[in-house]
Amino acid sequence: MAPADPADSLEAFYEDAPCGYVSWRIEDGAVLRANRTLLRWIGPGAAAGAGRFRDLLTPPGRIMHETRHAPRLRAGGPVEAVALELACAEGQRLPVLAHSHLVPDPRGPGAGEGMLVRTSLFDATAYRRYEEGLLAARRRAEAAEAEARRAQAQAEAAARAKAGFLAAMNHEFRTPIGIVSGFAGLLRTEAEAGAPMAHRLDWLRDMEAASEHLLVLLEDATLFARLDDMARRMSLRVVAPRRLIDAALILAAPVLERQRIVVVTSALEGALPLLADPAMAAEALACALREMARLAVPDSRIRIDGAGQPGSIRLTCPSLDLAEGALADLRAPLAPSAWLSRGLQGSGLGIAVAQRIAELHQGALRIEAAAPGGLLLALDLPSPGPD
Amino acid sequence: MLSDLSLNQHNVRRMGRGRVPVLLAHGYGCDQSIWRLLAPRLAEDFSVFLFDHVGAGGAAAPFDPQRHATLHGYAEDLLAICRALDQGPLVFIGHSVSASIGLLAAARAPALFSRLVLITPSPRYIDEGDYVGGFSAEDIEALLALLQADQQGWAAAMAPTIMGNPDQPELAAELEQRFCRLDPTVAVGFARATFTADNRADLPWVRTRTLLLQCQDDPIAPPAVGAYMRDRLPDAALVTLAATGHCPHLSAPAETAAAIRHFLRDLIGSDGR
Repeated sequence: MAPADPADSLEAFYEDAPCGYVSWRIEDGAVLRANRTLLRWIGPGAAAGAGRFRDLLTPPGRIMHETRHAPRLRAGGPVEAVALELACAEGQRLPVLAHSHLVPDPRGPGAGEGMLVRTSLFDATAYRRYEEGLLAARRRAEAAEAEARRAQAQAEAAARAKAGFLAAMNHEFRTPIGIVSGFAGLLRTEAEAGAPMAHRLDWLRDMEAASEHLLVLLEDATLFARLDDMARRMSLRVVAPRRLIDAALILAAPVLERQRIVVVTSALEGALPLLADPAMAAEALACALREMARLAVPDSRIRIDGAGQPGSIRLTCPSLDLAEGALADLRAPLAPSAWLSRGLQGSGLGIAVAQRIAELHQGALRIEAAAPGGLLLALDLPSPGPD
Repeated sequence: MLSDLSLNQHNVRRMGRGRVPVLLAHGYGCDQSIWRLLAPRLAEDFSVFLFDHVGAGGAAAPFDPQRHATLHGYAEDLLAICRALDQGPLVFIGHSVSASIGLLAAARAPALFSRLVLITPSPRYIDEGDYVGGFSAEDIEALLALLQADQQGWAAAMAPTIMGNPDQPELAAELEQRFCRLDPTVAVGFARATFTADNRADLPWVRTRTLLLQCQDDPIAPPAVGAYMRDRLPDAALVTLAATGHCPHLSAPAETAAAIRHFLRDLIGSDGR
């Protein structure tokens, strides 16, 4: 080996090390020596004012020093990788990791008092950046996990909704089937006994109503079963409320005609557009309209308002007053308390379909008592953004 | 009693068999091991109980981000410990943020406390108007950012430190081998609760006799804070120690113990216990 080069002395190695070195007294924090690297980091102005170790630090760095660094040193150290922050010239801050250990002060006795601290400071800028990247990645992973949990909860809710639907269907279908078969049996018995049939017109009317109800149930059940597929094919567009209302009126026409309902529309021209799948939204509106028509007495009036509230198409029937219990059943059509109390006046499945379609649009179907009286069904759908 | 859930969850330990119970509460950044130099001195005259706040030392109590978002959650923990100890009114000695926690607890349940000793306390760290807390709001946000980015680094900082003390072998037996443990996931939340707290309005409600101990040169709790608290607590005395720094119970344990013993001298009987 070549003889030692004075330029490569231990002194030079200390002064120009890639980390900062500082020695200080633990009893009062007085800085005894700092290497050139550290002085270069903090700048001449800051160096001149740094009489004590903590004077090298920013206020947050001082808090970390007093609460984490100094207590561990007082306990005997060593202390490794404590995050501190140096106060540099012109208000700059340098994050560092500090490693400190105690050595006896040659001028003082014993341990605990009169000890020197030798601290090595490593520029932690890249380390901090890496830490921040790790934290950002962890936050993204946690957000993804939360989204996965939410999706799973949605899937479970959909499965529960289907199970509730099937339970409601079981009861709903039995009622009209029971009526049809029951009266058919009675008619057969009387016909076989030779009884005249003209006075049994009321039985025949009930059988006809039950048959029509069965058809409605089949349509609603079919629509409900198609909802998942419809959701997968959903295509959102900016659509005028007028267009949805016109389509819904066509879809609900048979029920409206049978009940002789008068439909009045208002404020459609000035209504703000909605963001919706036109076919699904029209179907939801038709379901709500059909349910309202079935609940109302014949010759009632239903008003459709498209401009009263942005993003909301409102159906109001002033003559249809429901008690709070009936309103609650209408809001939860698939709950046992609702379908157990129903006869042929309406399955409520149309409400369930309208609610589900509204949810798929991130909207809602509101069912409220209208002011000053009557029933309000409001289909709330999102409005398109500025783009 | 020591098998009570609250006591186990907060790693409550006991030193000394004096008649008067004393409960030591550590501050932010450390655990009960910070009392390693002061506790044995007090154990000569008192029954000294130590515990760890949630997330510190050997505490197993769960950290609740909502409950522990403010110091009130920590005060509830403290009250649960006091009730579980069932020692009658006790002397509470709290360092730094534990001073504020003790104030909140004493305001809520004064019957549990006979005296308060608050070491380097501060009811608010952030300057506001004429009030000098010592830090700006930006300083505290920078501190939280420093903590946030160093959550992984704490694992290295928590490497075990041997706490041998040949003169007092029971100390090593009583206290953890690891020193100043603080769960990184709790550190940021505890720091936010500590350094953004404002308990100035609680001071007039604390009627327990109180000793305020401050240091001449404390970079975290400026001298003006001690006077501020003394003037607003109904029954308080202020003593400025010759010690410097924020932890006189580490840097000057003899002076700190003497000041505390002087304050509690009427509680110590003629037999010294």
